[in-house]
Amino acid sequence: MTKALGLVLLIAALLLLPLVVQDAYYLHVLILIGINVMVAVSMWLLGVTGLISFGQAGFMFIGAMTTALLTKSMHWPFWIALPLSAVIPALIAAPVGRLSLRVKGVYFFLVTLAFGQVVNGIFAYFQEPFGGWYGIRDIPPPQPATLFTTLNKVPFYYLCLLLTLITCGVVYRVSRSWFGNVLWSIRESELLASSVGIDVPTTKLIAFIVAALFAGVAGSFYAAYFAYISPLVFTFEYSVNMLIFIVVGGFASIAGPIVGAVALTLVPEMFRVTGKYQLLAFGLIPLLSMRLMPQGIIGSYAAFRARRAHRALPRSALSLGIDSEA
Amino acid sequence: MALLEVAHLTRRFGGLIAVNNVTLTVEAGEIRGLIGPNGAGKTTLFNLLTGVLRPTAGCVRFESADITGEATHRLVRRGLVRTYQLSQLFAGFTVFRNVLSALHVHARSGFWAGLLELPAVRRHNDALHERALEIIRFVGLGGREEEIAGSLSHGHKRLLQVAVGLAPSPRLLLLDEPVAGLLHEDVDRMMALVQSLRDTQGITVVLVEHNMQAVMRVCDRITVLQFGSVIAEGAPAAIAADPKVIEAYLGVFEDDDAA
Repeated sequence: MTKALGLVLLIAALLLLPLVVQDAYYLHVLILIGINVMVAVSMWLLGVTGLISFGQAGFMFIGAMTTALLTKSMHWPFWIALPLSAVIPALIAAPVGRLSLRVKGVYFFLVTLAFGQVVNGIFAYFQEPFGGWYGIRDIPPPQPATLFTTLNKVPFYYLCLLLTLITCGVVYRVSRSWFGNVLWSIRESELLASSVGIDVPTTKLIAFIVAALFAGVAGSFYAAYFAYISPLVFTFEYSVNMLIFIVVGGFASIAGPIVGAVALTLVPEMFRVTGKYQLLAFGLIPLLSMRLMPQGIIGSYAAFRARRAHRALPRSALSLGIDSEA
Repeated sequence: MALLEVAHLTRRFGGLIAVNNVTLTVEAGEIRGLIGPNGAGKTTLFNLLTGVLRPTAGCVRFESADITGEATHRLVRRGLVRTYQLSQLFAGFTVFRNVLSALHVHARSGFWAGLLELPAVRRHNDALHERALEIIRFVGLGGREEEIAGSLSHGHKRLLQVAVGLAPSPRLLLLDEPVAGLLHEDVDRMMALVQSLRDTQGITVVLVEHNMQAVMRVCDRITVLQFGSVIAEGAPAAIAADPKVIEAYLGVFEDDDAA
C-alpha cells in the first residue's frame, strides 16, 4: 500500500510542478523527459522478451509524420491526428514485426535498425509530401490554439504528462499481468515457453506492435510540441539512446526505463555548460553505469535495500540464507 | 484406443537419415520406453512428434487427428507435451513461478485480459496458484516453492521439469531422459513418479532413457531404435532377450570389426 501511496504522491507532485517551475526552459526539459520516457518504456516492454528494437525512432517518425501531414496539409484537428498517429505505426508494425521477428538476437537488431533507416530514408528522399531533408515546419499546435501557444509551455506540459502517464499505466499493467509473465518466460527460455503452450511468435508480435503504438504517440506529441520534424531528429542514434536509458535504469522493472530516461535526459542538460564536452559526458555515463551498476540503477537500488534488510535481521535469520541479491 | 500413431516417419539431414521410416503406435494408458544407442534418432523422433522439426516424409496422428508438423504450442493445447534432455527450465524464476507459468494454457493470458484485468480474469488466474502448489507437492518439491529454479540440485531440476510438463494437463507426456545424471535413489524416485503419472493422473508416457534398469522396470512396452529405424518392439523381458537388441548395444562377439 505504501507503494500506491508513493505513486499518488508522485503524480500529485507532477501535477503541481508547474506552480513551482515556471521557467520555460525547465518545463521544456520536463517535456523532453516525458517524450523520452514514453519511447523508453514502450521499448522496454518488447525488451522484456529479450529483443531490442532499434526501429523505435522509425515508428516515432511515422507517428510524427502522420500528425504533421494531417494537421498541416489537411487541417485536421490534433485530437484526431493523435489517435491516428498511434494506429498507423501499429498497423505498419504488424507486417514489419512478422518479418523481423523471424530472426533473433543481433539479427533482430540489424533488421529493425534497417527498418528505421528505411523510414528515415523514405521521408528524407521525398520532398513531396514528406518535406525531404528540410523536414516539415510550422506544424499547427493542438486545439484550442489560444491555449497551446508557443509562449506558454504549461498546457504542453500537462498534455505530455497525461500521455506519459497513460503509456506508463498501460505498460505497467500489462507487464504485471499474465501476459507480462509470458514475456518474461520467453526471455528465460523460448523453447520451454512454446512447450508449455505459449505462442511465442504471436506474443512477441503483440509486444512489438504495442511498442510501435506508443512510439507513434510520442512522435505525434513531438510534432505538435516542436512544430518541426525532420529526418535529423528520428535517427538511429535516438533509438540507441533509448536503449542506453533502459540499460542505465535497469531492466528488472518498468521503473528502470523511467529512471534511466529521467536521469539521462537531465544529466546532458546539466552538462550543457561544458559545451563541446557534453557528448563526452553523456558517453561516460553508460560506461560507468555498466561498470558500477551492471543491473542498472533499479537493480543497484534493490540490492542496496536487500543488503540493508539483511543487516537489520537477527543473526539467526541470516543462517537461514535469506538473501534476495541472487 | 491408439493415442499416438506414427506412420513411415522420416527425417533427413542432407545425406544423413536421422529417422528412417519409423512406424509405431502408443496406446492410451501405456508407459512406453524408447531406447537405442547414442545417435539412434530418439531425440530427433521426439522433435518430429512435437513440432520442433518437420518430418521429410510420413505422418503423425494424435487422438486420430493429423498433427504432422503442427506448431509446438498448438500441440500442448491438444494434450501433447514434452520435456527436454538438458534441464530446460525458466532458470531465473522461482519453482512456483515455473509451474505457474507452465499453467499458461489454463490461464486468461491475452494482452487485453492483462490490460483490463477484470475481477473475473483475476479470480480465474489466481485460482491457478492453488493448482501450481498442488503440482509442486505432487512431484515432491513441496516446501521449495520460493527457491530459484537455476540453483536447484540436478535431481530437483529434473523433478521440476516433470512438474512443468505436467502443468498443461497433457494426455501424452514425452520425457526425454528424465533420469540422466541422477543418483541411484533419485532414479527410483523419478521412476515412481512416472508410474504415478499414469496411475493417478491417467497420463500416457513415452520416455527416452539410457538407464536400462529403470526402463525395464517401469515400461509396459519398449521400442528400440538403431540408425533411425525401429529394430525391435515388445515387452521388457522380450526386448532384453532379443538378439538384435543385444547386437545393437554390444556388437557381435565373433566379428571384431563390426562396431
